[in-house]
Amino acid sequence: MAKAARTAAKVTSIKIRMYRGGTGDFFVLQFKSKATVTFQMMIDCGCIDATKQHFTDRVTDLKAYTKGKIDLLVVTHEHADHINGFKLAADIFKDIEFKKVWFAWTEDDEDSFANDLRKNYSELDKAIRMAVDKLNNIAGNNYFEKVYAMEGDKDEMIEGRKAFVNSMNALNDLNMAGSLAAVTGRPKPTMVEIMKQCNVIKNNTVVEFLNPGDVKSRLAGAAGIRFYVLGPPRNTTYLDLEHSEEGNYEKREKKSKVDFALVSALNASTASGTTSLLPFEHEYEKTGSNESVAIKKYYDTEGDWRKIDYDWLFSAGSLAMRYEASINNTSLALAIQFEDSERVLLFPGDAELGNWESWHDGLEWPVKINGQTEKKKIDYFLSKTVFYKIGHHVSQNGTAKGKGSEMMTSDDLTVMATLDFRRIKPNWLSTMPNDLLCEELINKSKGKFYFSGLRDKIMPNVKTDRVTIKKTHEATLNKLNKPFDGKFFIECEVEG
Amino acid sequence: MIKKPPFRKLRGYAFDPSLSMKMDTALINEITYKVPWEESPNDLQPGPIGEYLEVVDYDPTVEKIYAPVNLDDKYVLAQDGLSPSASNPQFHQQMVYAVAMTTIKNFEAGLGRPVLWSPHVVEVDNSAGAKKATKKTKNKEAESTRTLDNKFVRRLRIYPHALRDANAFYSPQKKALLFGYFAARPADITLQMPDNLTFTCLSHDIIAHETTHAILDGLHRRYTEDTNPDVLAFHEAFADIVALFQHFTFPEVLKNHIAATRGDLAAQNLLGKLAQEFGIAIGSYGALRDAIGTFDKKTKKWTPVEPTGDEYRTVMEPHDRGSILVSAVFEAFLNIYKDRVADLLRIASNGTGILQQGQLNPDLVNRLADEAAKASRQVLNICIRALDYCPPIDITFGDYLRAIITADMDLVPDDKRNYRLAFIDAFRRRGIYPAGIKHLSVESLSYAIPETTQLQGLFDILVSFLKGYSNAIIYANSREEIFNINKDYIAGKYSDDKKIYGLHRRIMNKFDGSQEFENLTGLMFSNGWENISIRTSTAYGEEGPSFFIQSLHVASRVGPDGKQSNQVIMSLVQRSQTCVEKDDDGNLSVNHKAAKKEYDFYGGCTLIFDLHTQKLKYAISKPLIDIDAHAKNIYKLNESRCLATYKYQHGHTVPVTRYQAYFGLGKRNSANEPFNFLHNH
Repeated sequence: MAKAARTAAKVTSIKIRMYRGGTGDFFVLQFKSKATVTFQMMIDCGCIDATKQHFTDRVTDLKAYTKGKIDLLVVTHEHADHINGFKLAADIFKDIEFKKVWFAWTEDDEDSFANDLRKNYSELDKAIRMAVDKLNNIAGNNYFEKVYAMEGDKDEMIEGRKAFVNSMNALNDLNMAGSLAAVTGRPKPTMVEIMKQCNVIKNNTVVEFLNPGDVKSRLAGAAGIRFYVLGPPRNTTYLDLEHSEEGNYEKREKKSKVDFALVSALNASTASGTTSLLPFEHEYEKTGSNESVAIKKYYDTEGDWRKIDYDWLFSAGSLAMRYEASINNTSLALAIQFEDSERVLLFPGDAELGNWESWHDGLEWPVKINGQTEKKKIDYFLSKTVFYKIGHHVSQNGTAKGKGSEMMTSDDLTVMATLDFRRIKPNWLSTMPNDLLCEELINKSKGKFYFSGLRDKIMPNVKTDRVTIKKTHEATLNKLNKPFDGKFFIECEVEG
Repeated sequence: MIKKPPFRKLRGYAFDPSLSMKMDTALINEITYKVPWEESPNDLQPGPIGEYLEVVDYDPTVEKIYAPVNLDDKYVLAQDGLSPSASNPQFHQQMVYAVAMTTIKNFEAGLGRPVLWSPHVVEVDNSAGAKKATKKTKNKEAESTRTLDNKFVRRLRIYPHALRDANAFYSPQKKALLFGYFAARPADITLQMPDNLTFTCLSHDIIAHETTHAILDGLHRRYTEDTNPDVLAFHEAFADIVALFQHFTFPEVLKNHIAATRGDLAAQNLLGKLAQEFGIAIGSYGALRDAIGTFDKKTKKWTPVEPTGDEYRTVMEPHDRGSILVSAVFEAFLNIYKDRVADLLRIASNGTGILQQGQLNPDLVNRLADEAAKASRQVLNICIRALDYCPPIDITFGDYLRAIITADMDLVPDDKRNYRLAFIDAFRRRGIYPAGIKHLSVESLSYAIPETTQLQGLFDILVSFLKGYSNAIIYANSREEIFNINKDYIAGKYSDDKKIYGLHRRIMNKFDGSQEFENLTGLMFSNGWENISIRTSTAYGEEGPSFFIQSLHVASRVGPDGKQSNQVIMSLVQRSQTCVEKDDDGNLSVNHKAAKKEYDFYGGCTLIFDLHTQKLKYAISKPLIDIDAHAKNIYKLNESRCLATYKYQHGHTVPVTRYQAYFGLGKRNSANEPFNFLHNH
């Protein structure tokens, strides 16, 4: 058998299909030897705010396209815009065979570091959910309208506070795994459990957890292809990193990683025993003393407009943002390489800067060059990259600059962006697409750039007054995308 | 008969509690604040609740009230307040009260009048009898019965434990300071337990910073409106400048450092490093001071940052931009200080500039610290006083530089120590040039005294009215009375026996059609106002262009030469509610004829009258009308500023932080806790 595998015809090209219709990742890769499809790989299946119908259409198409047999599924991370399709189309997935599924090490329930991390994330997840519930409750009861009825700026004030609540909801919508936990009351499940629930992982499906530095090769049907695991890092400093560290003085005190003060207060209703969350000893509460009664009365009667009952819940905003970034950093980031030509396809999931930074931190991967194994660092892979799935829907923090895009020096680069205004959270529009990143990648790829969205809608947001895009590149971009107008996928083929 | 004490002494932290845990800094971390004496039962109640402040220690995160401190308790009085302690919430209340009162006192010294908080603007139903639409309709008729009234806010409310976040902010809508606390990860784990609670309400700089936001809002309400990249940056920077220089006015905290770093006697490096260390405090505070210098963690050396001259043009994020202003003012301060201590250093080193080995003479340390404290107080005063010389809207750093120079020239005609040059030079080095100035000099930067010969007759009448106003203010018994007098003199009072024909009405009548007044103010008082989308006012029975008087105050100050100045400062604001359109090529234009006119563009002017000379001294204007066209008798909107503002507010600008990207509402909604937003980054 082993001999047969070695002599099997090598993969000569990879055809990438990106399903579209909204913002989220959903890819199928067909590895081909000449004209024969030898290996089928799927990466993620999600789209924010999508309906069941949306996925029924696309997954039905997927089933026909792959003939219901997928050799390898990669689930990058747990955000809804990457996995909600599995749930919404679970009734179709039950008839699709998955031979193997890859997850990041974070999903391994026999990995104690991963379990600790998940426990922390569960707490955060729950706290954010509690804050969102409380805020929805307040907004739902028209609290803002009542309290600010007579304010001079009432329209702006009410609009502002409601917008905040909506943004919190939008952020929380991503946290799909947590919502499943909220139902069961247990800590957040691993994605393995979720994929079982969605009929993706079946009895004979092989599940593997990958760590940075791992190399996978000789997969049946994928001869001549090697998979390198770049991230996620096993290091909370990188996982929590959303942007480069700055500032020159060390602050005397920083927020603790898990914001215990806030999290414990938000989770108070579910925690047992609340003494640990109180900032002061009981003696200072003295609720019975005359002074305390007077001050409470003062608070209650001297104008509702000055009360602060809900303001502290808004602190959950930055908590939710940090949580979102951390989860993005748990993305399984893969480099797929053609052994002979050394050409690389880069799929970083939604990796944020911390994940990118970690690739540069002492990691090496054994690469076979002319039959010899050599240790290579990340700059090698980036310089060989000929296909790049843009990280995190073209936001500024999904692609590292100096340690990322600037190192992609191949003159045969193709880029795909999973950004589609047809379904997107309104809050995302201000960071997606990042015009400067698009400028760089469009120019680098000379227009070999695919948007899952409608380019006449997205390009005006790319062409801001601080960027210059060559007309010939834009023409190429339009020409390449045009054949897929009206279809619910876009395809391109990368030669080996 | 024992006299009332002039002030109350309250102990507090000089920095924040973390420094009290170290032997070498514990001593200097405790200082005694001297705040104006307020007395129970009327002026000071447990809370403390006094004339200016009300500390309400309600913690919504656990729904608890912490017992309020009674500063008049005899045990508390006998020991200069409760002793500093992070674990006693009553001390927290004392600390916020002490620092906020100190800040208020500093402002009153600089401004020459009591501090008033920004008013609470509420809707009033003045359609007496006519039922206010019970269902909320947004049509024009319903709007017309909706008028706004300014209510006096006597006390700024302070919530020492309002949030669980490494954040604190001033809420312009609640007229309140909200302080947070959080579980901290100390940089030095040996000093504190990990996940120890850290309280922002125990940091001098944070309290002073937030109090300053509130005071500035009381002086210039429209500085919370994000109309150009400088406005919010100014708010932040100014708050930081006050916190920093107020900190430097305590010689106690400087002495220790001056003595410790004897080798670095020129001490400007030392003060820069110190300024930054003060600012480090907690969490995300102090970022503004990063522009002052950099600290190499390995060599432990601090070096000042050399400005490139490009900062003002290129740096746009409010904090980074604010830090340009902070570092400019700080550089001016250093040069002033350097000049003040040059002789001391010559004396101490026998003219060699090289000091003898061993410990520094304690007398020298004291003198140096005193000079630094004195220079700080002067810079603080200059910065505060300049606020009266700023336009009421749309401020830029250049405007502020002009205000600093004008204010200082006004009070201190003889600038022996070249303070003004120090400021100009520091601003110039950062590329901060006021618009419309061809040449940087003290003379060109200070606002010109306007020629008003034709108007002088009118001004004579106006000034005599203002004198009456000034007299009324001088004899006012309380801040509330001052507020009400201001209101009466602005809007008029026609019901009581003592009738006042209001300033607004006087201006409306006297300057109706006066081109010279329009030229001064940049606002429109002639017929045809509706052509540039100024609303019509029928307040006094006939039609006129709508405008309003945003503030009116008397400022009495005494300069270093004993010269007293009595001025009345008023600010006028006018709005054009118009429409900005974009054509296919992306060009913007103003269309006054559009059906939907929803873009508010403001013009405004600060007028300063001298009560002695009866003259208009300064007119500091952000014109609503196009002044060049006005010279040719054409009334046009000031389109260049209008479109620039529109572009700034609506243009495709990339949000500075992800937090803003997610939770921001754009630059037009300033009613959404702007300072909470600025601090979250």
